[in-house]
Amino acid sequence: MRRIIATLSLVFLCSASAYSSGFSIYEASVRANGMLGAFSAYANHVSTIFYNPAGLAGLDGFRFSGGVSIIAPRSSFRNLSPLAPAGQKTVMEEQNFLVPNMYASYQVAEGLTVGLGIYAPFGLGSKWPADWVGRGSSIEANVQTLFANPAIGYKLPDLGIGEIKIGAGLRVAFHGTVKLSRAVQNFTPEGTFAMEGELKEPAYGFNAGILYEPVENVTLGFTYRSEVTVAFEGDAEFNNLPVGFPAGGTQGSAEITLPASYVIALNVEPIGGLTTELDYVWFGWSSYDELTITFDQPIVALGGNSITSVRNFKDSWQLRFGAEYSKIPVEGLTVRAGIGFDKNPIRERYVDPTLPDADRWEYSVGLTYSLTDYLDIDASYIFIRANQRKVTNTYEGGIDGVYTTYANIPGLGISLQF
Amino acid sequence: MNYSKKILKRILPLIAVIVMAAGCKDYQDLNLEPVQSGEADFSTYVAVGNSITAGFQSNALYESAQRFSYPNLLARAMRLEDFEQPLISDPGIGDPGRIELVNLQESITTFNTSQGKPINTGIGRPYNNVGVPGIKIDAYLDGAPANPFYPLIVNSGTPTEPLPNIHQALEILQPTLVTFWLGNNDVLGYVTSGGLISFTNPADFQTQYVSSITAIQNLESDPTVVTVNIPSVSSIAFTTTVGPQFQATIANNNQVPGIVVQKTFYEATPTIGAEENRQPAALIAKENLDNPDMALILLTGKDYLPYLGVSAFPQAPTYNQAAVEAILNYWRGYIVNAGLATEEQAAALTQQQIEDMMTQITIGQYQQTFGSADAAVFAANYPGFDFNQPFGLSPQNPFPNQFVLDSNEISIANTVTGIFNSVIATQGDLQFDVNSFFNNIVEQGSYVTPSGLTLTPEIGSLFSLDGIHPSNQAHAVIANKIIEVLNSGTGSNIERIDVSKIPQGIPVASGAVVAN
Repeated sequence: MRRIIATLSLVFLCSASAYSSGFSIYEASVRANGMLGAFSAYANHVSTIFYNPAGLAGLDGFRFSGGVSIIAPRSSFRNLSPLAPAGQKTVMEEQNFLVPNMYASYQVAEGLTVGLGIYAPFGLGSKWPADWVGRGSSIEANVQTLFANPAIGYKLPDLGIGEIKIGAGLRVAFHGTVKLSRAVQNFTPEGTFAMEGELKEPAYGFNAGILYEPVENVTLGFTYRSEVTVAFEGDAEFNNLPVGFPAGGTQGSAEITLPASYVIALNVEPIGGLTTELDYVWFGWSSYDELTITFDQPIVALGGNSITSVRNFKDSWQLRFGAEYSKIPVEGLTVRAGIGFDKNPIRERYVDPTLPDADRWEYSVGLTYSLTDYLDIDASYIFIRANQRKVTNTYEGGIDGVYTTYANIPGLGISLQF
Repeated sequence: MNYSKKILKRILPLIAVIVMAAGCKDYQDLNLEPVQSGEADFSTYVAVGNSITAGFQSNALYESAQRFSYPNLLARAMRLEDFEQPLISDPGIGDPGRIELVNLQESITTFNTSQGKPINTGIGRPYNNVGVPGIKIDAYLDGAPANPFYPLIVNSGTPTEPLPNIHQALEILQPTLVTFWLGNNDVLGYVTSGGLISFTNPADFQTQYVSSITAIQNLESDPTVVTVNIPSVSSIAFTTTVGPQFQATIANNNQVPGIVVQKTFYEATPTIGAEENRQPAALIAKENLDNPDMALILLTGKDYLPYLGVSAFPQAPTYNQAAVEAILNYWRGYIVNAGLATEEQAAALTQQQIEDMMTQITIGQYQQTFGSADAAVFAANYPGFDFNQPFGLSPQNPFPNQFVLDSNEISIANTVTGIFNSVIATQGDLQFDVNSFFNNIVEQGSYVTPSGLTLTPEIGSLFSLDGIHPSNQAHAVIANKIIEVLNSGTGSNIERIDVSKIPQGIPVASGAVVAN
């Protein structure tokens, strides 16, 4: 008899997180978190290596900053698919993710500073109950990346049109892990597909920025971050899938192009002690149009040795507004707050439970307390509320329903300067 | 300084209010708009039917498939919360068991003979899905005491207390909506036996069908009744899969004009489409093997096709010991079924003995149909069985009747199905003409769902592995058609099911060791 089933579509990856749209993470420094990351023109802190490397040029002496943000996303799903009663609710398992960051800079000469940053600009994590209604789309998804970013900032000589700083850096993805699992419902009994992999080799990109202060107390900033194409490889396991899949599992690999982004920033200090900033952040998510996992052997059930899932992300943007006030009547205390809107890049057809993404409003507060002239304690708190997202026209095999997501992101860090 | 404090005083409370408003808003309200039931009342739904209604697939009744039965999908679409089905744990109950895929590439299957058990017994009332595999129309008012599924499905709360008939379940439940899909088995036995088992007498069918529907319509709850008719014999994968495959294998072999098939003797009966047949075997030309009016080779005959041309004569070039043994064993079974030997006795029969007995059985069948005098003439000229002749190519070693519907039998099956459907068309408040719907799919070769999924009338797509029962996705298609019938007939607004979201759920053998 002829083959009776068309090839399976093991659609996977790779979206997800409640951090920022798509799976980018913009919480790269506790100091900047307080202003909700509206920091690309302010740049008065060593974490400017991430936000705008041009800011390095303004940093003297030796600076160090280290911190951690805890991202605690919470999602729930209410079913609108024919696979379970309408409205049936599933709560995503509670997971908290520790996102570290560390920066150091050293002024080599007047107007010339070098630095190194380590941060996690992309990541996602979602875990649903193994028997939940959307298990055919995703059970667990976890992607982590760590970037090292050596950078240099240089202050241009006075040209008489205001102060200009430029900077650039190399962005090296040096660590990454990926973990995915989902049920395969094409067969009875159901099987699962799981993949666990690591970054195959370091991947490179760059960032560059410019800061321009045409008049005092007004600074314009622009930052560009290039695409970084990361390749993961690891073990693919096919559990309880006796027919059409290799029994002992196989090796699989996948490439993901992490999107380019740019920031246009305006920082104004209207009165002494008050700094306000508005950043427009653009992400070129359309680079993430499909995801292909390639296996090292042909797999009958897939009709080949690779599977491609269409993601079709669209470019997206964020608007971030932050303010900082340093002249409150407590010695050594600076307070911050921010508000932002984050447009999600996922079209309705491709929304899935790996990333219950939606347009979102973000709010932040933060503070810095200077213990000594050399040591500051930074703290921040971000609350993200994603709009309820109802999807009723997902791809073949997708799961229709309503996602409700929010996230709390407390952060704590220190800053040192000598 | 004062100015900045003023700004802060104004801005901070504003931000605080925005944060709180966003943070505290309860996003957990999912406003599911209620289903409008129009002139009908969908509050209590009962599905009456046979194996299709039960959610039986791949030769077994099992939970993973029952979850996708069209009644369950329909109940979900109507947002009913208390629609109960008699669930059986995987791999389900089937004889000899569930058909499971062993090899994906070549679609080799096996029977899983493990049996499942009832899951949700003791719900204290009859189930809403009272589809019972194997039952005919008479079971609605008479029950089906000998059917092993019957007590599990038609009971008042526990399997030890089966109800005397299916109507009793409806008396207790007092449904407001009933789908009624019976009648398939009244002709299906004839089809799956290659014409050897009789169909229900059409006059009896009419009486039983009309009294069943009348009984339902006389319930106090005055339900809306949707009747579903019987698909054509030639629209199921069970009858259409093997013939074209076989045709393809002999297409270029000029030595083989077709397949010689053992035939049933018939007296002419124009009312049911039967033509007189006095031939014990006849050739079906190869060009007719994919013509659903001329010949249908049944899925059950698949295993015997590779033996075509095999001779039991050891010196013949087409001799194949295993094939000969399989062919002889088939006829040993035939003799056992005819009541002429026990299994032990049959196992000891030699080739010569089997040939002689088959010759005698054939003459006896002729005599039963046309009388002793004609039979004597027939016997004088009948060369009888000879397994040294090539299997399936000689009238003396014909391909078994049981695996083939010839044009005469197809005509009978179509006529009977037509008579049954003309009865069904007059019954119930609304009708779903699944016969036309499936004929159309077969004619087009495929069915494209509104969400863009293309399904074909083949095993693995619209049909489960047994070739008779609909797959998960076919159940969703059927549920959608019933939804259309309800919406247009009662003014309701039940939302269609997105078929592309329904998993295929094809059974696979868990212990499969065969390489893929």
